[in-house]
Amino acid sequence: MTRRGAVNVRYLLAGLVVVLPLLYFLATGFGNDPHAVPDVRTGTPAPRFDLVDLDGKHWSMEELKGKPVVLNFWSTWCGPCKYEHPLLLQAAKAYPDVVFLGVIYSDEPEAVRRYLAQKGQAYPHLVDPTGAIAIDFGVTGVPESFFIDKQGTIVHKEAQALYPQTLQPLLARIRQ
Amino acid sequence: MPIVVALLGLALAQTPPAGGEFGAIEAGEDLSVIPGIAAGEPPPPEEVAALAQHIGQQLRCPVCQGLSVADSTSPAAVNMQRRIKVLVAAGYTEADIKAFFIERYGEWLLLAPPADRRNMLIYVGPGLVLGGGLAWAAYTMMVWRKEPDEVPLPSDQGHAPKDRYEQRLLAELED
Repeated sequence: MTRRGAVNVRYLLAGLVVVLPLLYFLATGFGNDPHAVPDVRTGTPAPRFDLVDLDGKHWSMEELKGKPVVLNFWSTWCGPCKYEHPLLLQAAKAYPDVVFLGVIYSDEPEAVRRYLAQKGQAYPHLVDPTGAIAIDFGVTGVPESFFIDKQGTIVHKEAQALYPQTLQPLLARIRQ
Repeated sequence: MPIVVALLGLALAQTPPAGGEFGAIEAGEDLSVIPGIAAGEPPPPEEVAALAQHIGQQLRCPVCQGLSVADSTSPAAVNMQRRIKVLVAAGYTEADIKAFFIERYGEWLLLAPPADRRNMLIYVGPGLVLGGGLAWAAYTMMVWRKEPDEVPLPSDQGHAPKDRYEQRLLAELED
């Protein structure tokens, strides 16, 4: 006979077996953004590409080795891209040793040219007509920026608009 | 009304144009090649669309996430589905094409995780929990059935009351 108020060890253990795994999954799961796409590209060599910019000049990853690169996927129909555009213009002028490249994502060249004529242009914008390079970099939407060091390794992927406080330390990392 | 107009304007501003004029500009990459993997025998042209659709339905749209690549109309999904079709037509297998996208987006892209040792718990877990629950329910029912319908009184089993209080209690119970 169980003493009144005494703990039934069998029930306690059975309860713990059910509750502890649930607590573990809740504790670890609440810390994650369920919509965040895992970044599998950071720490790997940047995919090779050979694209032309709006002026017809060829750009390839091979030729960029030895230089820090910021590859920014963007489009004129994307609100946050417009927000970060002045910051990228400013950064491209302030850090001439860093190669800034825009990659146009699902947009029309004329729309891009009009936008750049109006808002300013400080670096080349590459055309990725089939989205092949976006797929190679694992791009899910715009804006997305890849910070590539001098060895050609992706150091960081920023899957949102850039801000001065996020851009500065990332530039410092790839310029080392 | 102004709110509706403003919302409509915002939606249009976030929507990519339906068409494009990029056809005139050549890409540097051969879309029909997966680097390092040789393509096999291409399927008959009339089967390409269905095969591509089948593969696209197993991959998650990275933008919509609740939809497959084949069902989504987001720019990312449209580009991916187009690439799948090109790779199928070039002779790559379903496994090659899935591996190509997993390398770029991670295993997260698969709508159904692969049934291997790492994901065993996902596939076996619900069955184990259900089986355990059924076994527990069956055991409990067996124990219940073993219990006699009527519990005999202590006096029926030759129990002698300890004191007057117990004697009175037993007498009242028998009444």
